[in-house]
Order: sequence, then C-alpha cells, then structure tokens
Amino acid sequence: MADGSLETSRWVALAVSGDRSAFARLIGLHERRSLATAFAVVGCAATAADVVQDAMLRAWQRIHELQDPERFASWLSRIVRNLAIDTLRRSPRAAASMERLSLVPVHDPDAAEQSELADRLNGALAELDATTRLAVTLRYFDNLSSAQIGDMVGLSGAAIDMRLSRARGVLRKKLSCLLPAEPPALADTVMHRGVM
Amino acid sequence: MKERLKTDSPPPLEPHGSAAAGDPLDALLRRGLSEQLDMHIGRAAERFLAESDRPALTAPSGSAMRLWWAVPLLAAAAVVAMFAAPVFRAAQSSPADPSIASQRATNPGHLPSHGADASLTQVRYEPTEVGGAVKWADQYEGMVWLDDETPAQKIRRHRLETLEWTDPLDSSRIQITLPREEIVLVSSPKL
Repeated sequence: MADGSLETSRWVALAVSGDRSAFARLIGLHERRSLATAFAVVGCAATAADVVQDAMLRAWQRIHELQDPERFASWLSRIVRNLAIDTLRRSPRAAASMERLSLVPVHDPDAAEQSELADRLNGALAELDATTRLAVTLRYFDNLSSAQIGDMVGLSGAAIDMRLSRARGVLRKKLSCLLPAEPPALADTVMHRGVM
Repeated sequence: MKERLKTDSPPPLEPHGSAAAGDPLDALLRRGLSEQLDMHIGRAAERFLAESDRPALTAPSGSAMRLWWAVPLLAAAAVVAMFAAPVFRAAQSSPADPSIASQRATNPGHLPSHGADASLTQVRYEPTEVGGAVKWADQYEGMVWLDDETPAQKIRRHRLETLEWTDPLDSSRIQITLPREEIVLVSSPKL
C-alpha cells in the first residue's frame, strides 16, 4: 500500500533533484512520525530527537536511492528505526542516563508533575513489546490510524487494534495513580448504549 | 434491542481518537508523549538546513557512490598486503619459528624427509604459496568532525583475516585466522 500523499510525492521529486527547501518541507511533514518511531525504540525523548536529526541527514544523502516516492514515509521510518536500534546497541544505558539528565528542576511544580508523568509513562511503555510500543506512540503522538500503523509494521489494521486494546489495558493499570477515576465497566457502557 | 446489544461492540480506536476522546487514559497518553516530544519538533529541519550545505552532506551523485564502494576494497587490500608481507618474510628467514615448529611437532608424519638429522629446530619452512582471505562487516556510526571544518564518516569494521602457507616439501599447510576490529574515518573534501 502506498503511504505517501500527493504532497509528499511532489516534495520528494523536488528533493531528489537537490532542492533543500523541499526536503526541509518533507522533514516537517514526517517529523512527528519519525520522533514517535525513534522514541518507541530508545525510550528517551532527547536521544530520539538526536536519532531523528541524524536520520534526516542520512535520508538526504540517500534520497536518490528511493525507488518509489510514494513509499517515502516507509523508507524514512526504516532509516529512523535502524538508526535508533544502532544507537541503542552502541550504548544501551545512554537512553536511561540521558533521560535522567533531562529531568526538569523540581522547584517548578508544573515541571515536576510533567516529569513524574514522563517517568511513569515511559516505565509503563517499557513493559510493552517493541511493536506494541511503536503502535502506541504512533497512535497517541502522530494520530495514525490502525491501517497506517499496520502498513508500517507489516500487520493488519485489525491486528494493530488488538495490540492497542491490550496495551491500553496494561497502561491503564500501570498509570492508574495518574487517572482521575476508574472508567465504567464495559457491560454498563453497552447496556447504557442499548437503552439509549 | 438484543440485536443492537450484540452488535454494539466496544468502539474501535479511530485515527483521531474520536471514539475514545472522553477516556482520561487517552488524554494522559497524548499529554505524556506531547510533553516529552513536542519540544523537539522543528529541530531536525533546523539542523538539516544548517548542515546540508556542507560538502559531506550534499546528496551524493552516482560517481561519488562508486568511489565510496572502492574505499573498503582498497582498505582490505592494503590490510592483506600489510599483514602478509612481514609474516611471509618471517617465515622465510626464521627456520626455528616456534609456532611452525609446534605445528609440525603435532604432526610428525608430515616432517620433511630430507636429512636424517632434521630436527625441529633445523626444519626450514619455505612456503611456496601465500594465500590470504579477508572477511569484514562494516557498521556505520555516523558523522564525526576531525576538526572544525572537516567532517568524516565513522565506520567500525570487524575483520577476519585468514592467511595460509603451503610447504613445498611435504605439502603441509598452515592457516592463521585473526579477528580484528578497527575504526575507519573517511574524510570528505573541504569546500
């Protein structure tokens, strides 16, 4: 399935011819997805950002190798993912240490709250398998549909829905202390809809 | 009503979260990811525009790619030549090379038949053939700067060198395999 829009294809064609501003536009179009992909692998926002920056430079150097402009998103995601995996292999503890270094000052209550959320969320995400973690970050950071995520990871949209559903169960349990209250039971919800 | 109850399955997750928009978990996940990642949006484009005019980061042409492929081949050839030459010389000039002697000592049936007093220390090992094989795997580790103006590609190379000698007298063969790891920096021309 082609994953590119007409807009992407147009910018790719210009970028292949050496147009830097066109490639900068492509970066803007695909940066969220790339960040989500890298973050799912390395588990650290700062490291993920570095990975994405390196990946974009590498993609620019290799864009002439791209056979089908409509596959730009998949092609770029592969570069990001491979680079993120390489980064993790080279220094598996770098991600964790960098995350600790990037913690905001505790004197700022809002910032401290953000830090706690980040810590707990990242810890909960680490409990998921790699593919499910990628699906969660792509869904909740880049707002991708299950079909789009499935196309990226080689699964069907239904399979992604199942993984997301299971992931939500795990995350709800892990993050329960940050959630306001338990949601109503599924049976109650269905009955309520039926009555309506 | 029963029909409707049966088919009214839990709403699937929609691309924009419309079905579960009211779920606090969704809001929490979106907020948690946004707070960490949103601050990095735009940095990749900034860095690209700042660095893409450097010669090392211009999109490579076909001829440049051909040169790039030649680099590991030339390096491998140089390594083989560098390693093989001293070993070859040592084998010719050192009749009592302990490694060779011990190799022969483990296989006395292959001792040369010339000279009844051919002790291990007197065996002259004269290879008639020197063959070498190198296997390597490159791991790209990104850009580094040799100085303020000289970018370079950093490559970690895992190499397995195999060298082989054949003795003309008894046709015995000696093979040495050496694993090595090296960092190769391929600099790019300055503007």
